Amino acid sequence: MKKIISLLSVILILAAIAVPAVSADDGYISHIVDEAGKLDSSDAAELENTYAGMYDEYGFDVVAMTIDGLPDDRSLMEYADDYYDYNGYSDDGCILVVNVPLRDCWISTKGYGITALTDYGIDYIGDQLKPDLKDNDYHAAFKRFYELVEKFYKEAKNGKPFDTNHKVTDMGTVLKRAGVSLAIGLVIAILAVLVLWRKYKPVMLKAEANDYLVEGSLVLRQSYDHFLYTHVDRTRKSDDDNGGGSSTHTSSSGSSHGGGGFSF
Amino acid sequence: MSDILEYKCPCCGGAITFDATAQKMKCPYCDSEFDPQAFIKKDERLKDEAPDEFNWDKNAGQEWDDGETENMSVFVCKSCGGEIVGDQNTAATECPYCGNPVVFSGRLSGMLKPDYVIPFAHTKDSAKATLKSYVNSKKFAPSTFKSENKLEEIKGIYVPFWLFDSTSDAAVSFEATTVRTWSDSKYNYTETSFFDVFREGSMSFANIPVDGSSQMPDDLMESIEPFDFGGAVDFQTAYLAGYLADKYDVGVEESIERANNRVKTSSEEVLRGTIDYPYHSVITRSSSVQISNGKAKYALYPVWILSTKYKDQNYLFAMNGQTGKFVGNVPLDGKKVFALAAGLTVGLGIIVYLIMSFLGLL
Repeated sequence: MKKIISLLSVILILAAIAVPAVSADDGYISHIVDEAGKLDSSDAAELENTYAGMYDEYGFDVVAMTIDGLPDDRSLMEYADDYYDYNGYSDDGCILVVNVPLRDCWISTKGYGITALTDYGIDYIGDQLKPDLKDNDYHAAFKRFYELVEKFYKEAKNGKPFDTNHKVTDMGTVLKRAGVSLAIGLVIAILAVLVLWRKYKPVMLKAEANDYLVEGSLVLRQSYDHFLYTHVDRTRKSDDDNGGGSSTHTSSSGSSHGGGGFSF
Repeated sequence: MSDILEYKCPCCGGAITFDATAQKMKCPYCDSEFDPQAFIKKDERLKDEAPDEFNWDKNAGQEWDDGETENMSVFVCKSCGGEIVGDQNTAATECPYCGNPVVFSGRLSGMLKPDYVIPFAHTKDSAKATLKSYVNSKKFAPSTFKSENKLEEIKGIYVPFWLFDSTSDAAVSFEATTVRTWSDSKYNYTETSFFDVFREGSMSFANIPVDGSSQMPDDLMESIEPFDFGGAVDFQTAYLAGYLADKYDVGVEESIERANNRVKTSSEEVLRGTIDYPYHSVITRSSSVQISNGKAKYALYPVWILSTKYKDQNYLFAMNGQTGKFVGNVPLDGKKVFALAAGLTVGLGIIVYLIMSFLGLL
């Protein structure tokens, strides 16, 4: 009897934690959970279709969720970790939870998600999502989230996840690189022109008269080298640039999660 | 009241004191320690250091023999004021410096007879050929400048030089450093050791030429150096036949400074050259140069010269008539230089961009 009660209470708690992602009729696990009602049904269906494709193809769950405030005193991070852990998602994946009233977001990663979405990656994705979230365009934000996760997943599978030492090449980076490259090119070009100038204007006064030194006339009368003092400078080594990687923590279920949050 | 002696730390400039425990001079500001002996020696030396001094015997040139100047005429350029000497068979018509007509102004007078002359060893043809290849090799010169060069106008001219002999006594102190680097797990260390390096010695210089013509640019003449005095002979007017000569109008006194500066620089360089320890850096801290036994001679040196006008600017080319060394400034074609700079900027920019993309920088 005790066992039954405790089992029931666990079920009740779980029911309280979240609106079940598992729909009662067919056991299908939903990837779009719109508790705050920010998506219209056709958009939600379209996103669900897209998100599910990632799982079908790679066994990697991508979940996007809106909530209308936190149900208890857990943090958004704990809520996101638990929601992912207790709703039947695979061991590899990530979840984006948007706490709509507080305009807070958390991305929680698990398994291969931790590898693919580094701390840098989560920051980057957050920055990319902010504009749409600010515009209240959750459909666009979740679409973008999916595209980015897929991009990061593929990059990680290719051997090198996006990280501080392997950043995403977007338009801003391209422009920055182009600017810096042209500046370096210009500096070298200016140096080359100065060298050319020197070659075309070789007429100048001579500072020395070395050509007229009488050979063998040098008599060195005094010559010494005295050691004066030694000075030691110490600089801290810069950390080897292996990238920032992912920082992880353990959720209530005992599984390891990575993640990061942002506000919009 | 006695003077208080204050020593300054060569490392940070703070006042240093003698540390009795360590038996060393110690800087309380940066904790550097010094050997007192080295310090005292350095200090004494600074006190002894004499200011630069230059002594020259300036009796150069000689008087002409009777009748020697009879066959020499002087021509004056009305445009730049240049005075050219030619023998009676070599009538100058154009100023070699600016290309304007010159006029006969009379017989040679009021000029010392040169002591020596280095005869021309290179012919006009070789001068023309050198000039041609020199200008043609300048790809970034305006095409019109190349085509408009009047090769025929190249003239052989004896340029007056004052030659200075001297013995230089120099004392130079340097600050030298050696650098050693190592690291442990946390830090990189750079150890810089400082040395007081001192050299004192004497050396002789012979026949440093200083251009005695105000029309002839000094930088142009120094650029075609060196002249080998071994090729000089006692002056005879016969050497002037077929060539022009310039009268000196810069006196020996005014020319000394130029030679002094060069002897001073060379003395320091020669002493620096005796530092054989492979230091990482050597900086001249102070130097004192005394020049004595200076003796000046007056000589004519052979120079092929061509004056060209391009866009209202005068370009002078000169070839050392003894060694064949050729110099001259060539104008740059703005459009060609711009094309080069733009091409390099874009070309290098693309390469740098590809490298940055490959390495994932920024």
